[in-house]
Amino acid sequence: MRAILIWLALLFPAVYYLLVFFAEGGPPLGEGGLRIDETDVYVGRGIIIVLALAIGLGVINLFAHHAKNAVNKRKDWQYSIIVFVSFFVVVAALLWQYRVSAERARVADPALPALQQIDELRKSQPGLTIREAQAALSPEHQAALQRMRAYQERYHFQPREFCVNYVRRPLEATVMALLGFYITYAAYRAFRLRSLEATVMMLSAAIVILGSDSLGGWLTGGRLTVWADFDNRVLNSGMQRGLAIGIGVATIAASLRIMLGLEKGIMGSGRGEQ
Amino acid sequence: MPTDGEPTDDESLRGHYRFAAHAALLMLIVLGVLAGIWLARRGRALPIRDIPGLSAFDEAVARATEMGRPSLFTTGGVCDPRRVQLYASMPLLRRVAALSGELGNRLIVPVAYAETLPVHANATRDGYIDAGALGNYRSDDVRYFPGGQFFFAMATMGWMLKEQPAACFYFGWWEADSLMLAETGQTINALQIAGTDQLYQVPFFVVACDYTIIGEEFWASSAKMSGEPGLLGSLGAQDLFKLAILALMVIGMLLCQHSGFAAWMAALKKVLG
Repeated sequence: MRAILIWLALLFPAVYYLLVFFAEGGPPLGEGGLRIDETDVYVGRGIIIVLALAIGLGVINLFAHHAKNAVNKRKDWQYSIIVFVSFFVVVAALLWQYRVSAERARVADPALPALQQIDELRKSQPGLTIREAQAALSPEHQAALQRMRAYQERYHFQPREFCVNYVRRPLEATVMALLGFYITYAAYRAFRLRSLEATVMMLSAAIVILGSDSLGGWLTGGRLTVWADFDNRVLNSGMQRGLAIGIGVATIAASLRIMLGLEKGIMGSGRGEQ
Repeated sequence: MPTDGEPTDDESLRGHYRFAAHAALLMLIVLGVLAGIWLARRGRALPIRDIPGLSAFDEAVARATEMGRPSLFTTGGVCDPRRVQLYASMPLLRRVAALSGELGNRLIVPVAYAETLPVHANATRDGYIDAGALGNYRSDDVRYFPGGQFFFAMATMGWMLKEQPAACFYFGWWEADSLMLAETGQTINALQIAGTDQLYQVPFFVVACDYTIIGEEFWASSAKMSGEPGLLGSLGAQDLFKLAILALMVIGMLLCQHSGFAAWMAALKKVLG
């Protein structure tokens, strides 16, 4: 039974999205009705609702699991405390951000026409300083600008932006930077002459690297550049296109096998169910 | 008269032609694959060559067991539920879990997406059930590492350094995290097998792994491993289609030397947009 349910859960969305793809711009379903590809929006909303419920359920599960860990002092229970602390810190940051956004809409956005007017004044009268342009504004616009400045001073620190720009992004950049070392080490290992294939690869890489560099072209009177170009545009492109054709056909065949329920590996064994 | 942004009649017609051409091509391939499956079930399957990476599955898990270290299987940090590569990898995870169950080895499975956690957990559990070793299955070993690609990569690298898996399997849709994990596997002297249809990641796996399953071999893996005639039949049909495409390319190249045909092709290209 479980296998059939999993198969149906795979089959229906697959057929639906196939129809959506091929029905783009097709006739509506009945007089004044929706087109199949337009129903995608409503299905998408349904998926968002289900996801929101799943997240809610996930939070409850997470709390229950880690609360039990912490209360019963199970192995590594300290990490459960870190989960709670992290969760509430992030929620507090997001609530603060919500307040900042609401304030921006209330205070900062009405000041936009004043800023626009300053721009126009300075364009029409070159040499006019910002302070002089502000003095020329109407009292309402000046008041709006003052409210905006007060908002900027009050909400100078934005925790969410801080978490994203000063914590998450630097961490990601650090991890990404590791790739440079990994690539260098992997390239060194690849270029060791262990076999005939490795030798061919090393020679090919040497031609492409030196040929793409102006020094290689200069040393060989441009010959290496031509060889590198041939390697890239003919040999490499041909191989890539050949693989791409194979992958394209294989993807359709594999998707069909999954849709027809022939891939038993993902349908569940049906045994040992509790 | 169409207003700004609305397609003209010509554009709309071209769109219909294009979709009709796509649909016809898709139907042709689908019918061909179905015919291949039908023929194979009647005992007329084409022979499929061995894929060394798949044959090494048993060796890798056995080696890990002998060394008293676990095995690791992951679909990477970007293989989200929309990727069909995820579903194509699950039979392989199930196979590794079955081998681990048979040999009494531990299998650890890091997962990057909460939605795919049950998919991985089911495949792992089913593998242990296949081996008659459900008692060895530990749900804690299928672990969700949230936060995105690089945080997943860091957490998995940490887990690898802690648990020291001696057999690492990387299958699915991969991006920059491929080399990070494969290089970590190298440093802990693991026997590594990777498979992806992401051509940009293949070189990284080739230099860092012992076996790499490239491109369409990845899609053939589960069928080849199962040995079921129906699935093998679909692989034979794929190969025939590739031959047909190759033949069409050669015929097209020859015909394009004739100016009349070249003009006709240009007109067809214009109609299809």
